[in-house]
Amino acid sequence: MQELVKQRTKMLETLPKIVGPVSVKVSDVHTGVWRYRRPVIRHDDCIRCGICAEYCPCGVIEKAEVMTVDYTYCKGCGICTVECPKKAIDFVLESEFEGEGDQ
Amino acid sequence: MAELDLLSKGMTTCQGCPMELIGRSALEVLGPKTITMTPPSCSAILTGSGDETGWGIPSVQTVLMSLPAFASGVSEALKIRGMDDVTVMGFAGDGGTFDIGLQSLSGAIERGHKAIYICYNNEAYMNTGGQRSSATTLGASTKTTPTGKKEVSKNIDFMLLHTPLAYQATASVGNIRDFKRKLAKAATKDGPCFIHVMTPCPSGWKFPADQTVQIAKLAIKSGMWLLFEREDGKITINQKPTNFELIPEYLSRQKRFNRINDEITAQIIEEAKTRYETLQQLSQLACL
Repeated sequence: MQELVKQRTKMLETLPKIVGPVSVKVSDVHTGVWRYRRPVIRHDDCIRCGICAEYCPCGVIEKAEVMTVDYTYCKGCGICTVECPKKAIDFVLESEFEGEGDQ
Repeated sequence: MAELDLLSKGMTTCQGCPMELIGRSALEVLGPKTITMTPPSCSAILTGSGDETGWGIPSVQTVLMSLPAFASGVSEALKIRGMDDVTVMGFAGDGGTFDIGLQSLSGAIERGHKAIYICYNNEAYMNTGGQRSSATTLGASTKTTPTGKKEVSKNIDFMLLHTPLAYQATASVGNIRDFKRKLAKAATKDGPCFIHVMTPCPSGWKFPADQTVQIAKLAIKSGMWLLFEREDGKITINQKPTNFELIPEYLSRQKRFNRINDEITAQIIEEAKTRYETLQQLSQLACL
């Protein structure tokens, strides 16, 4: 068995580092364009518990000094608005949103 | 180069898809030293096509029936190389676990390779348009059962109770911390681990995308989904169902149950009660 393992290890060492077809690009679809409603955090009511970030399927909410949403990738599913224990996230229609648009 | 996400943000899964949430939470626990594999399913979106991929870790796109066989191979290769700190994670849906992948799963468990199999159960073949699978609940209308499924679903957790798993658990997106705890526990085991996660599918079950987690929470409360774990031959029930009378509410919130009548509702409630009673009796056994 030891001999076999040694033999196999030697065989593996002779192989090039990357074998076969590999993916080299990272998927980067700007899924924010799918959104028709956007979550807007009311920072006065937010207690920074991080539950929205925990339940965000796209991982776009980041817990920094204030909670921030990456609108380039946010699909607007609205899970954060439902799960927020303080109900501090508004779900605003994109057509009615006034402010700096990221998209 | 900027720091790479373990799972890219720009994934083209549906709005409110819990499968992506499970993938993200899993990587949060397991970290970058993980090799993952996905069968052709919704999770194949994460592995990507062509030269694109969503994972920031090594990933393999396997065939539908043999994901656990791939996992065994990778696990053994890692053992030969002496890389004991790398986790192998299989990430299959209910089709790749209950129906098509069942024989290779049971084989891989029997051979005892060190790997974690995560089954995200969305109760149909959602990636191909929502055809019925053996995980589909009784009465649910799918593409191939437009008038409602006539058969009760297969209970894979009870089936796998008799296999030599190092760790077995059920989890739900309704309780993501519980899922992370179970996965962290599974990562420490030296053997096959199976985690069965409930993932309500907004487009297939036909409910609004923002209700995903609420539906999963209601399923735990109503007893439609049982949270338990099996470790060292002992079953522990993690969360008891509070009220089986919540099942009609759970059913009415999904449009796939539009066609069921009172008789089928009663049958579903009866089945849920029996399932829980069986589990209670099993949890009192000394070894399994």
